[in-house]
Amino acid sequence: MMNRRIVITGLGIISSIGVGKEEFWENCLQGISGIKPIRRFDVSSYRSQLGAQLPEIDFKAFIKPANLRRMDRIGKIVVSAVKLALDDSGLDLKNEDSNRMGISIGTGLGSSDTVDQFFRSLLKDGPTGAAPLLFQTAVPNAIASHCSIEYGIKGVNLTFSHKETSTEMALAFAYHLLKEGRADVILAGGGDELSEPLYHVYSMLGALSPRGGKGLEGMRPFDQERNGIVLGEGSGILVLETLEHAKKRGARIYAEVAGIGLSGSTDGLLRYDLKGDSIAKAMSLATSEPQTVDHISAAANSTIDLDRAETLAIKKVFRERAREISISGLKSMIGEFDGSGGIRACGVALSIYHGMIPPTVGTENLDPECDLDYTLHQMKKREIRSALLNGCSNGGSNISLWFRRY
Amino acid sequence: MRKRVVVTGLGVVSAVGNDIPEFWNSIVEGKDGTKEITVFDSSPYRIKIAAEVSHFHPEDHFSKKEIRRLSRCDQFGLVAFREAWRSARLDQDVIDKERAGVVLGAGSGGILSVEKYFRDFYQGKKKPSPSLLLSYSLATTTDLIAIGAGLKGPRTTTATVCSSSSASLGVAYEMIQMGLADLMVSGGSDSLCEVSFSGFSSLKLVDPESCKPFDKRRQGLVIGEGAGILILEELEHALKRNAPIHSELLGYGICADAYHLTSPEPNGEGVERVIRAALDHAGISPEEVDTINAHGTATPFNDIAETRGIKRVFGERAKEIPISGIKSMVGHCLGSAGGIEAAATVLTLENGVIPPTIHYEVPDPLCDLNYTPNRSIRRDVKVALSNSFAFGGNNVCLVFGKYLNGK
Repeated sequence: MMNRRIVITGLGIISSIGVGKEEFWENCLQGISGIKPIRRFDVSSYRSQLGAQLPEIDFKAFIKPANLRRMDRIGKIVVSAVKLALDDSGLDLKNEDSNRMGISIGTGLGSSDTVDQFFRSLLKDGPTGAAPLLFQTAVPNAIASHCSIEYGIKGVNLTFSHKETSTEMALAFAYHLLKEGRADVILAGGGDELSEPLYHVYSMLGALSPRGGKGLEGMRPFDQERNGIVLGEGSGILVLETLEHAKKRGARIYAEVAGIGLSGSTDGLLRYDLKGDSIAKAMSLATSEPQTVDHISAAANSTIDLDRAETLAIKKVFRERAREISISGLKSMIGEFDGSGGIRACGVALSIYHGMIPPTVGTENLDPECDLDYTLHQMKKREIRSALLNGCSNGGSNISLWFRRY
Repeated sequence: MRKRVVVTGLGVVSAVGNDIPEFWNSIVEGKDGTKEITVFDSSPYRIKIAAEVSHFHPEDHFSKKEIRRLSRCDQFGLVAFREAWRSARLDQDVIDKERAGVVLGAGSGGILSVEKYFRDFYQGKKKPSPSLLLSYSLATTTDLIAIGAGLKGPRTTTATVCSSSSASLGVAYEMIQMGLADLMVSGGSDSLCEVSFSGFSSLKLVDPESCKPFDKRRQGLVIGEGAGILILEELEHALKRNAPIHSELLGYGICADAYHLTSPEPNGEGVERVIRAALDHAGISPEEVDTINAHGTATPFNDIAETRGIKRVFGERAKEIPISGIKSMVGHCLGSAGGIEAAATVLTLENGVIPPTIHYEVPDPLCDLNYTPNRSIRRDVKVALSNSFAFGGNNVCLVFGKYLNGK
């Protein structure tokens, strides 16, 4: 029973560099960044001006009109990614037992914009300003509820919100439940949106590039001149399925999820794992065959602490092999956001399936302490036996997922 | 073979008591924690009551500097955690902290602090302190507990609001099953805030007088606050260090109604599925269940759906099972409701006392089960369920059993 294998059979991506896996993957391989001056809200009063924003999306193409009315923007974004993933998987819901299908979503601050609208209306008009329709979508689990209602999915349904590891956790939990036989199929992943209140909070907490006001604004993982994060938005959903179930319906298999590792560091509420020990532990727990790891999708978010710790951690786990591993930092193109892990996991599945590694962009001069192969500027063709996806949150949750070629 | 997971520590902060002995005495005696709201200005509201935590003095627990940076939610969480940690004797025993983690459930989290910030910011009164924004993430209390205690095992936060901390116990259970941890700190913390108070009020789900679960006069919930923290531990690990064992977490279920954003599935079909999923996971038959800690929010629809769901699972026997609705006393604590109610369920198993549903006077023909009206009862309990349901139909059911050696 413990030998149940779990595979990825569908990918749904709504990102700043493409809607749908084809557009996303083409841009990703070409190293096209979604980071641009922010237009959806006024940032003139901020030192930072950039964000990786989604293009205008016609959500009617993805969501039933009656349900669309009840959703806020983040709900629409994630449900659209679910639709893309389901279509991509070829699953026919009519043939599935809805009790054996589940949803596992990670979102940092999913409905921050809705909460903010609700609160402002409350401030302005007092109790009569409290709008019930806003409130019901303001809860973080509204996103997963939208997904379950849209598709009548009645099995496991859970929402995680733990900073930058929210989606990695959603994926890890889905993997484990499938392994335990508690579902046949779980739609896992998540997302976040770039909202004005969220931008404000990150800015006030001093997280945004250019941190300290020095240098050029931008996302440059592992670069000497990096100076903080640029926020992004989007959603990535994976159809995870037991191999048995996938085989029975003749599904295309992108890759296998083969292990997960979770660990915690305790360096401070806004600090990443400083020494890399915790990230190393997460990776070691995730993979039982480190000698087959050819690719790592790094958490790399252009902060000095995390870039260095992750590099150190990779060296600790892989020693002399560390330099042979092709590392990519996708956040250099899609920006940093709590729910980024779903899109990045889709990226790993596509890398394994096509044998191609997307580049890390924006980086010019490597930090001497970051001396591994980060696949700078140019994508690389490479057969991948197995790959790791790292998620690291400030405050200290570290999660690694291990994917294998099927 | 699944690992056996036991509860070795408990901690609570609630409107009826800020530690386990006081909390348990209060709910056994049927004490109502509902009072006038003081944590924010309730004067513009028609309803001015909540199950607010009182006699809680931060300076008894934290330094001045800490108090400035910790939200009310963080403070409740840390205080309940410290009680749970001590009661599990983890302050004395040396454990491998690489194999101890934290999974909490969150509701509104520290939004009370964030509200303070944005009220000042939007009204342009004064420059608010950015440290209030540390509570912007729902993960803050989870991280603070882990960092404070140096716990380096798995860590995450569940966010299904009204069922969050029940879900967190399920996730913590799995961390032990995965072999990633010997013990997990789990449960949840939440504090009153204006956003959730006004939100539930706007949906007309709040009762102006008191929380009266399953009573015909019920008009809705009374919002509560507090924290309920449990230490879940792998049985062998607990035995090896001779830890106090309160009860066993036998299994859990998590399902979706897939029905509506705020209303429960009316026929109790969603409730039935989650209870069945939990019993199935725990390897327990419906005949073995001795008591149920109900979700019992006292909203007109929830209580009917929950009653119907229970009847669908237990059939004729449903009427014999004593059910407790402790939200009648501690209010609906949102992100910590499941943690506090899990603690009550564990204490029920341990003490053989089933706490009452208070304010129960007028029976509702649509809610026709035994809700343990107004007075607690003594009963030897071997298996107890704790239900938690959330907006959008995110339902969780936990199965606790009396710890029996060798079972």
